[in-house]
Amino acid sequence: MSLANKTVDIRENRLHTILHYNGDAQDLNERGKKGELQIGNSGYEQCGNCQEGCAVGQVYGILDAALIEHAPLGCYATISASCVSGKSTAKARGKGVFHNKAICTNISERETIYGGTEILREAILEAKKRYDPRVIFVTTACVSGIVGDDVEGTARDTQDEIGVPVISISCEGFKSRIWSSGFDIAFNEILRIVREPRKKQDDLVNIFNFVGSDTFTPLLSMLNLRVNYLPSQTTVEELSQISEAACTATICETLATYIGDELERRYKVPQVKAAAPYCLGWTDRWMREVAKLTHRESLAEQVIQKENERIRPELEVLRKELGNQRVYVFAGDAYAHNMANIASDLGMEVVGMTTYHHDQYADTREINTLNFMVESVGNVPNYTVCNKQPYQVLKFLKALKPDILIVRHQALAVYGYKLGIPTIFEADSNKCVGYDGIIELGRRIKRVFQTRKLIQNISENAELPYTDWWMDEGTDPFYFEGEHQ
Amino acid sequence: MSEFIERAKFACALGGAISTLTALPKVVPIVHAAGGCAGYLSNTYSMAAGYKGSGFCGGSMLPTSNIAEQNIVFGGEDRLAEQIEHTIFALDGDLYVVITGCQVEIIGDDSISVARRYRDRNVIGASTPGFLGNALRGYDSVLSSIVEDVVEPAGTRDPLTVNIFGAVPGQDVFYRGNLDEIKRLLGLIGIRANTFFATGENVASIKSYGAAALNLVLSPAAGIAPAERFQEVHGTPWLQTELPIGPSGSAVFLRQAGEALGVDRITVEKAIRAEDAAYYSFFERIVDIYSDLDLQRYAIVVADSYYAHPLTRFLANDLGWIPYLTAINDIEEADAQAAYTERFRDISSETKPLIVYERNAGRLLEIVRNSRPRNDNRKYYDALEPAYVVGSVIERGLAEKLGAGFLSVAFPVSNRVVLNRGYAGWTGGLALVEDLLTGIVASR
Repeated sequence: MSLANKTVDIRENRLHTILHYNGDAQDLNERGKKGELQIGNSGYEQCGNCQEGCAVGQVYGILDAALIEHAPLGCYATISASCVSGKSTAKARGKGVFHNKAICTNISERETIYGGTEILREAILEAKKRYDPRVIFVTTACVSGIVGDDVEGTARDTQDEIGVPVISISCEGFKSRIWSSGFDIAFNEILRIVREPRKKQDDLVNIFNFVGSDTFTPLLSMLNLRVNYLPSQTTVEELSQISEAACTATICETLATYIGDELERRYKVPQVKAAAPYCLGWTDRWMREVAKLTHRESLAEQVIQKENERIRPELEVLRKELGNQRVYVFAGDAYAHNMANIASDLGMEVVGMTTYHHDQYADTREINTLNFMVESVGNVPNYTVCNKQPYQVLKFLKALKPDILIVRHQALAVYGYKLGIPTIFEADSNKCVGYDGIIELGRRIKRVFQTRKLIQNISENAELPYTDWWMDEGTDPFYFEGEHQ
Repeated sequence: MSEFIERAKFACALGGAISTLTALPKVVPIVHAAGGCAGYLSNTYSMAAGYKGSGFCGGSMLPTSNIAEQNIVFGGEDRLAEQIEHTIFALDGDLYVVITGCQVEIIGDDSISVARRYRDRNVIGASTPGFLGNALRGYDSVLSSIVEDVVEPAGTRDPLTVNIFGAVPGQDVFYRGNLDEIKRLLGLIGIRANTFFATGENVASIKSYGAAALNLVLSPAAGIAPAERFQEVHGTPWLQTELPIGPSGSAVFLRQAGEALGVDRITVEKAIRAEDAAYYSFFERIVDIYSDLDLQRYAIVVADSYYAHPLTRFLANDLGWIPYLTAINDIEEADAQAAYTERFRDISSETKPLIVYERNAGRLLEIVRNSRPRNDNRKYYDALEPAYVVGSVIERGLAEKLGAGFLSVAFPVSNRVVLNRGYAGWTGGLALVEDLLTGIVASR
């Protein structure tokens, strides 16, 4: 295990990520490529996520690792939901029964005064005793950061005592305004358990993803390739071998281009430099790219032809039925591009999009999902960037009146319903992958249209908290931007 | 030093504050904290409290100062002031409540003073950092501020009006059904109950709570602080009561409230008799199968102190189950534990439950197993069966390992959808019988 590791800078510095933009996709793409946009500020904000949550999400699901959140119990409150999705993902992927192996140090007022390294040390010993893990991850929180606990030093000292690697992840929420910085920080530490390749595994494909269904195995098994889902639901041993894979791909470039880039640089594992396989065209291109990296070009052509023919009849019907529908996408940066792309492939008109942030470029410069989307969908008007901020999105939706809204994060679909717009929550981010994925999304959109009556009733009875001034069509949705203390 | 948490049965104080405020109609929380706190905590209660949802201005709509590193270094009060001003501008609330996360408390922002600057525009503040403790501390802090800053001094007292404290929204997954029933119960004996969160209450009605003659606190762990603040500010006394579940608990509750407010005994007893009669006219239906299907169970109750004794009493005194073990997860001090254990003297069954104070859900199986003699392959071994676990969803695993029936009542409850259901009162007792026994007959 390599103990010396470089640190990774937060995205606002490294990728010149922005949080505020109003314009269209083409303009953002052109100006973003030059990195000329500023992160932006607003004098009124609603809540987002934090980088600790993103970091915890990456290491929590590693099967034989334990996690210690060195935090007050509130930061740990999301673990219940993570445990539920961990269990269902394990079931969906035939990984047996998933067990929670996380502990919260439960920092109280006392530790904010006297420091918390002693309880952290005890928690590490306790985790070793309770779970006998291969690796223990320790995440920091705002409190441990501000109080100044030496988490890294405590981890290092205790590691020697128990003989199990203890890896600290410094991910205090306040340290980055771009919560997806937490992915990079977690992956940077996960790289410590990756070993030098012993033998190349020519049929192994690294797939970085969140939790959810197993849609890559049906796709890649047609090319006689094995899927290595990362990092959730893998063992430490499987993680240590990712340096031996034939190539690396991701379902969402916002998630994993940092580690993809590092694997390429450190261990010569090439990245699939095509857009993720969402929609027909992108799936074909992604399959070809994987095939090229794994030397299966002619097999891929056969598969592509066969699969295209297989789904064509239903796809044609769906395109006919869904054509002319106007869709709005509200999701994370790269994933929003995936969704817009499928919707467009289903014949729908993408009338607007909001992404939670925008990386002006990725760690690997050739991977630019906005550029991929503009090439495939064309320009998308009404393209905005904001850190969730339902108060703004509400005004975009009221002005554009789309027929359907697609969101990616929890607790956002509810606003579509309250406005009377049929809405799809893309909880399982693997679901729309590949040839079957496009059909799947089409069927789901058709299904949600059948709940129109309910959605209408909800919107007629919903009470929104905004003032008449804010709801007025004449009020600029960007009124508060630029002001910030 | 606090204990480690493995499976969380509470969020932090800020979580409790958010869950409390989003349960009040037209109340807008303003969270002064880093970007993740509000959304994560709101989602926790939205998803793990019977899917109670994000409410009027919860979820990702929660106004938050989203403080970043520069605020940690230079202070966040200016950012908070800006956020308050703009929140009032964009959001139409009857009350705005500034609540605080750990970061801003450690760096020393005086958030409550900043909130006070906007007092004339219905802004108040409460200190709710996560490191203060669990969600109940957030409820206490927020309600204490409302008691002090929103409830108006009353000219005259209404001798038959009470305020109810201690039912923490979200932490009590059934809070609204429970409070609606408590209003009904007290109404039976002519008492008007203000509850903050029941159907039809709002900020305007809360302002008039000062006219109450008495405050009733339903929990030993939440609501005492605001009730004491109420006494300091408005001079109103408070009385410790309990969540009344089913006939036994509800009768005790009505007698206690009636006596405290001077309601004549005949009125109280008449109401109890009428409710008992109605209850048993329904309960009578399952008498045919109670014995035929052998519905008696050994009961294991795992809950916070708000639910633990009331549930155990109902199962033993009203349902005829054998209370085997009751585990309480939120009382730490020895004196408070001893006082709580005293409550179980009213358990009328021959077998008295083993009472343990244990926060680590993982240890309960061991406790149950150690409480029984070992089997050693004896032919007539008296196993703990049939058993039934009433706890949070976290105890589902315990129930599976014991081969016991299972119902989740205490937080977290992620395996049930809860709308207007409640377990308080005679009505709630019937609902609880339905839910418990449906679990037993579900596969028939």
